[in-house]
Amino acid sequence: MRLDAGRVKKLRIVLWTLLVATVFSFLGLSLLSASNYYEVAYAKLTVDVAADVNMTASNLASDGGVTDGTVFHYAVSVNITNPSRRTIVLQFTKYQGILRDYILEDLAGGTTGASVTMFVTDFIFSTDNGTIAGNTVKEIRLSWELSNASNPAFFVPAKTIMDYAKSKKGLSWDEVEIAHVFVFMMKITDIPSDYNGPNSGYLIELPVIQKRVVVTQPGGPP
Amino acid sequence: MKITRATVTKALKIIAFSLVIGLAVGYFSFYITMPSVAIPTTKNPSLEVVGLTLFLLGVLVGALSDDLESTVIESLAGLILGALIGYLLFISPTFSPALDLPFAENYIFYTVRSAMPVLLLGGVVLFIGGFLGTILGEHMAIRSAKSPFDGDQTASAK
Repeated sequence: MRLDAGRVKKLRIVLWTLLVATVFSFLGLSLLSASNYYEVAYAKLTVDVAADVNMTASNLASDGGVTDGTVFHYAVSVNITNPSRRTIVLQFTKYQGILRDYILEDLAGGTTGASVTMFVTDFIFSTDNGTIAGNTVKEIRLSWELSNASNPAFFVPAKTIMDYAKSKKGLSWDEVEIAHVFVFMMKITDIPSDYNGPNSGYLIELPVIQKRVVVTQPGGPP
Repeated sequence: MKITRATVTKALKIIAFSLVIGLAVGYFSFYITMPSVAIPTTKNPSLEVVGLTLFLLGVLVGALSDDLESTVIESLAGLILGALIGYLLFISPTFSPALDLPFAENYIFYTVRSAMPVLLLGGVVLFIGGFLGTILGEHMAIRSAKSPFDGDQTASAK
């Protein structure tokens, strides 16, 4: 079937238009993805956490609200044990800004490849002290265990961290001067079948992507 | 070798089509690798959608390319460019000085491994689509170099 000259011209215009539209579509999608990726990795998290950083002791005790006053020193880290693979990656599948009540949501959702779906089931708190640029650092580390539990949702109530820090570690929020946020964006791609949490004999590896934010002023990113 | 205007035009078209394919493959390799931050965001990236889209792109490029040889070159170059673009997308946050991120080897390993399904699938469907597109272009005389005027030009030359 050979078309006449007029139809060929129209067809060529349509095809070239489609090609140009394809270019702009993929260019747009790529840029949007990169922007979103960066936002997840840094910008959105920074802003939200910075907002969450402002918490007064009274509000912490009551409902975990976010107001003004004391800087809440907050850190998140993820530990997964697996010496055989350095590519274990835990990926934030969703990050919502409802930080008044929840810090992270649905942390370990989808997986890829021949993998086991891992979900967060427990939290482990620890604290550490130190100095950065002459400023006292009191850091609360929040880590969590992974297992094959069927609950895909992951919520870390801010109040849980606050209550822990106040009651168990005796932290005074007024003493905290620097806020740290450590976020490991990782994606679980391969977990040994006999993995059963941190006590299963596998040792930690990880930070594939480590985000570190230092907040030196209440309410604002650096 | 004499460089003619036609040669330059053909080379530019190959480069342009390679970039188009590379852009698509790069985006899809990132989309498969990091579906939760790609746009559109999803938890379950669809290889079927990726394959179908790349196939249609292959047909489109094949129909507009000069010949089958060009289509093959464009597909190969597009795949290589796609791997590179996907990798750049994946490491893009590391370009920010505000982020304290380890670099390179993990990303390369991770990206290559994760994006491999797209690259393999893309290679197959792009070649098939490009081949079909080339046949389609020949059959319908879409290309300017082989337009319906060919017959008239031949006749007038005689």
